[in-house]
Amino acid sequence: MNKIAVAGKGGSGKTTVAGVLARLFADGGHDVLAVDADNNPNLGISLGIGAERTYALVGTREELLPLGPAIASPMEDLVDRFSTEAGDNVRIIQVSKYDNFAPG
Amino acid sequence: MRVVLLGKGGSGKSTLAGLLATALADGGDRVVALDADSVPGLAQVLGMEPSDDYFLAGMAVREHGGWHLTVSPEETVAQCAREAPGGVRFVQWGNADAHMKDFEISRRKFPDRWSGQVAFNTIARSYDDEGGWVVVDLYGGTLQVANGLAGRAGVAVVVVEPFAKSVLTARRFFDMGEWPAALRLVAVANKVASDDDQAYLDAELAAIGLPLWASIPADPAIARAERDGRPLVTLDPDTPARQAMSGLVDRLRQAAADTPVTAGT
Repeated sequence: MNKIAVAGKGGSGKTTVAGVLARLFADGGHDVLAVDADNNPNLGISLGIGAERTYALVGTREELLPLGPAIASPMEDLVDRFSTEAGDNVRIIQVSKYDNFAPG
Repeated sequence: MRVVLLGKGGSGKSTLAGLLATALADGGDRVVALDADSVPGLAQVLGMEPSDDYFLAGMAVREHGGWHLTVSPEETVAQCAREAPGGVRFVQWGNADAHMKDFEISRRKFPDRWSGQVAFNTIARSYDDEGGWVVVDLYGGTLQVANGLAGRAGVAVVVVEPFAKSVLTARRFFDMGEWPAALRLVAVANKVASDDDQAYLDAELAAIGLPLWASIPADPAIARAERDGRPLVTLDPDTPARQAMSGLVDRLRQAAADTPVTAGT
């Protein structure tokens, strides 16, 4: 497995580049997991699944938080549970989305 | 009054925060600009030398089981703000190097910086200046807003580009939950390059329910200044983006005039 991280300033094009890379590797016959680790996750749009589906993707952090501090599941199980089919050998998983005011 | 800039990374929060602070100061108003971002951007827009300093280092202490400012918020800003060329007083959070490591380790290793972060967060959340302006430039995305850094009063300006990712980010802000009653959430369009861009944003923002207070055009003069790392305060006042800021300034002055008393923060 190869892991590629894309970093840079806000607005520099990280998400766009990551989306294009994911599609190119998938076109080349690889299975690709696209991980959106930005806490303002927009990678779904660059992958072409549309704003509505991107907006509806769950944040893995937000799903796990109510379950308490123990994350016993192996990484593969988390990916299975929280990733979504993005078409043509690409799956997408969002790490977090901070979509509500923190309590208190 | 407080004006807080929100939006997607790269949407132009720092650029508009700097242009807005400068425009308000040009009109003779007192302006404090707070940069909550760890990537230095606003300092450069304002014509200051970018630095990694934690301006509020040492300004909060831990006692009686909680953190407190060592002096009043007004005194904190008076002591620590640095003067920018346009007459704006500037305070920045600092650099992320101490923050990114394990919290406990960084707190012990860099107690002054830690204290500076706490002090900055307190100021960013609640500092206001009745009769003057506090312009707060937040980190891209919703995280700092989720943690209350937008505060409880004033105007929260979502900077929106005519791009789907930027619009989706604006929608996330709108949908975060119940906004404080005294904090108005509005949008300002940025990098608008055509009537088509404007029509797209008009429709999208109306669908979200965000009032659009101003549209700032895509401006080659800004792009050139950003390329060369030149402060935007040196731009010709007639350049289209600076001209368009006057529309936002008018709306904000009106909002300030309509606010009967500064709400408690």
